[in-house]
Amino acid sequence: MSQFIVNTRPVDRAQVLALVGYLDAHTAGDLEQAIQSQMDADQINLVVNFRDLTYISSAGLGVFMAFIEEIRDRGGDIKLAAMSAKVYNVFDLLGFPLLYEIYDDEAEALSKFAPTSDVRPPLA
Amino acid sequence: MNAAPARSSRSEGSPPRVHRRTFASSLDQLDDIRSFVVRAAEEVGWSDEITLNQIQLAVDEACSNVMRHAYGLDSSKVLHLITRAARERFEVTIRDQGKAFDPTSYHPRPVPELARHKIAGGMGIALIRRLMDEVRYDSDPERSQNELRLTKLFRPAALPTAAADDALEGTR
Repeated sequence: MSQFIVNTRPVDRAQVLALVGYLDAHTAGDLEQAIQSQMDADQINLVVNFRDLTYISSAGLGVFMAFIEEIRDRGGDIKLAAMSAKVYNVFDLLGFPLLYEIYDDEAEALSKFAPTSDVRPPLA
Repeated sequence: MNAAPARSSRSEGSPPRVHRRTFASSLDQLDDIRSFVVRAAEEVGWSDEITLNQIQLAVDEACSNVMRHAYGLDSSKVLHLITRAARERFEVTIRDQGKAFDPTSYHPRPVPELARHKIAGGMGIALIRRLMDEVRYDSDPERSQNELRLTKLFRPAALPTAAADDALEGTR
């Protein structure tokens, strides 16, 4: 049976959801619940860390699709980070890199939520 | 009808290895289904991680579609899987007795449109088509049997130990 865990931790202004194991039609509901509970708590700056995710199917990708518009409408985002080549391949095949920001590592994704990023640059 | 004979000489005398297994129509079986398919491919020398992932993903998508749509998640129903594996060609057949649905005639909407309408499904079929070289569907209403056959052809990158030639590239 597929094993899948979501480990959530706050970092600066964002919440990091670290995925572990196999994300398929059997386990996608766990991710859906994890993201929904963040949104219910008004946590809308989310970084999903894929480093320890071994496998993803369209059911997993569907979870991100189901939430992305609402989260952006509320001023937040879901940024994706640290995918293995085979997991990235699945996102790429469906054209997800056009819809989502995908970063090489978690720190880079988090930096996009940094307070300085939404502050106007000082006048020269 | 190009350089293929050079490759077939490598595999002559080694007919496809065939495995059959029946799975319950339950999403918690997907992990076992993927393992079954990957083992069958590895057994005949397929080793490229991305290719193996593509094969198991296509089968996962096809089987979860059957479980959800053909059988309505009725776990008393079953799926029959048959793998025919050779070095140059990997084929998997999925049989069910549920509601017929031909994925080869279905036209999935583009992903941005699915996202706009919050449609989480519909991507599985797009994936199957992009991941596999041949997708064939047959439905026999008299026997109420549906059969989906997915085929992946060898690519030089998929078998690094094989001599790299352009035989397959030339066929496409």
